[in-house]
Amino acid sequence: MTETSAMPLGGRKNQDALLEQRIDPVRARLTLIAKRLILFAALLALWEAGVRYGWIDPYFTSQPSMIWQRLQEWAVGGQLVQHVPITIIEAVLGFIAGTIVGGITGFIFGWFEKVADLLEPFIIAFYSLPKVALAPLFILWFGIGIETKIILTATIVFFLVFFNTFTGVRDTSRELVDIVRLMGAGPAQVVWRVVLPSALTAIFVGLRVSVPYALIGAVVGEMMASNRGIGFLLTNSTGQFDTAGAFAALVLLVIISTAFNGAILAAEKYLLRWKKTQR
Amino acid sequence: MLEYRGVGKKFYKRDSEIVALRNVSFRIDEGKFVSVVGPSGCGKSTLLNLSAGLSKPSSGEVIYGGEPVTGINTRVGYITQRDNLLEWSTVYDNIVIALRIRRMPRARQKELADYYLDLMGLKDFAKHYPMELSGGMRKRAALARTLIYSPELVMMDEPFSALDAHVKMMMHEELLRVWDADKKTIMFITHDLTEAITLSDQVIVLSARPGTVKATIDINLPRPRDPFLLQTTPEFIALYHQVWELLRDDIRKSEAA
Repeated sequence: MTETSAMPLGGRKNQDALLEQRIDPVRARLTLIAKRLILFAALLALWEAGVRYGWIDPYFTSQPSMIWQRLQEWAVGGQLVQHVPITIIEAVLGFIAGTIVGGITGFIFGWFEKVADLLEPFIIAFYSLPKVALAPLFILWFGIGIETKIILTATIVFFLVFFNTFTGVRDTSRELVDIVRLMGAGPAQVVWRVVLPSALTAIFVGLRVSVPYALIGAVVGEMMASNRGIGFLLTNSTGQFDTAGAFAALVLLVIISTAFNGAILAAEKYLLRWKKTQR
Repeated sequence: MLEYRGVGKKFYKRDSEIVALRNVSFRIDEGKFVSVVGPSGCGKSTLLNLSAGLSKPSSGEVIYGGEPVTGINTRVGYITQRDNLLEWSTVYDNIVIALRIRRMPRARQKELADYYLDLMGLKDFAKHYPMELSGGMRKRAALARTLIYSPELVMMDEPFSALDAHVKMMMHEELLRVWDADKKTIMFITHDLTEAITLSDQVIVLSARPGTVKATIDINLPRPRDPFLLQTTPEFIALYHQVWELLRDDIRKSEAA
C-alpha cells in the first residue's frame, strides 16, 4: 500500500505497476499460494500412494508418512535438540565470519585498484579451487570439532561476498564520489555515505547466493568427520539403510535453509527499500 | 573569483598524446552567470575538473579566490550531466547531504531544506526516493542539493542536456528565477547556444580541440528574462548568429576529426 501512496503523478515506470495493482494484489497473491500448496500436497500424495500401491520401492525413496514419523521420533528422542542447533550455529557463524572478512577484503580490493592488480591472480587461483577439497586439511589443522565446519563455511562464503563487494565498490560512480568530496566529505564520509550504500545492492547478491553454500560447508564438514549435526544424521541414517532418516535430515536442511534465506531477504528488503517501487 | 591563466591540459591515451586545452585564459567575476560553449571534445568539462581541483593543469595556473587551486576545492559546487542523486536516500536526505557532511545543526538543516524544497517545487516529494521522480524533478533536486550549501561558485556541466525540449525550457525559467533571487556565481558548460545566451551574462566560446578561447561575448540582455519571449527578440537572434558564426567552422572540424 505504501507503493501506491509513494507514486507521484508522471513518475517513471509507475504506470505499469499501477495497472498491475488494479487486479487486487492481495487476492492474486493468495490464489498463487493456494495453487502452490495444492501442487505440493498432490506431489506428496502421489509419492505416498506410489509406495503404498507398490509402484515405488520405499527402500530407495521412503515415503512421506515414514519421514514424518522419523522426524517425530527425533523430536521426542532428543536427536533434534542434539543435532540441529550445531548445524545452525556452524552455518551462521561461518556465514558471519565469511561475510565480514569477505566484505572487508572486497572493499579494500575495490577501493585500492593497485592492491587488486597485484593480488588478482592469487585470488583467482584460490577461487577456482573447490573449497570442500580443503576440508581434510582443515580437519588436520583444526580438529573434528565445530571450528573446522565454521572455517570451511567461512571460506566458501568469503569468496562469494568478496567478489560481489569488490564489484559493487569498484562500480561506485566516480562522479558521485567527486561531488560529495567537493561538498567537503572526507574519506570516511565518502565510504559511509556513498560507497557502502552504493555497493550494498551487489553485496546482497553475494549474501543471497551464500546462504545455501553456508550449509554446504557445515554439512560436508559434518559428513566427513563428526558425531553431531545434521550432516552426521544424514550419513548415520544412510549407513543404517534408513532412507526415511536420510530424507528427514534433508527436510531439516530445507527448513533451515529457507528460514535463513528469508532472514536475508527481509534484511535486504529493509536496507534496499529505495528499490521497492522498481521491482 | 576564478581565473584560468594560460592553462593547458594533456592526456595520454596509450602512446598518443591528446592536447585537450591549450593556453586558455579567462576569468569569471563574482555574481556573474558565465557559459562556456564549444564543439564536443574541446575540453569544456576539463575546465571544470581543473577548477574543482579534481585534476591538475599540465601548464599554466587556475586561480581561485586569489590562490592557485592545489587540492579538492570545497568552495565550489558541481552539478553534472547525470544528476548523480543518492538513489538510496529520499529527496530530503539528498538535499541536506552537504549540510550533514558539514555537521550543521539539524534544525537549521530542516529550515534550509524546507526553503529549497519549496523553491524547487519539491515540497510534496520530500519523502520520495529519486527513482520515483521525473527527469525534471530529479534535476531540480540535484540543483537544490547544490544551492542549499551556498558554494561560492556553482559549476554546471551540461545539466539539462538529457531533458526534453519543454522540460528544458521550464528548467531555464526556474534557474533564472532562482539565480535572480540568489545571485550566485555560475559557470555553465553547454553546447546549446540558445541555452547559453538565454541564461548568461557572458558566453565564452572555445575552439575545437585543442580548446582555446576564441571569443568572449557579453550578453547584455535585460533581466529578469523570460526564456520564451527572449528567444524571439532581434537582439537575441543577433547574438545567436554571432556565436554561431564563431563556432561553425570548429564544429565542422571536430566532426571531421
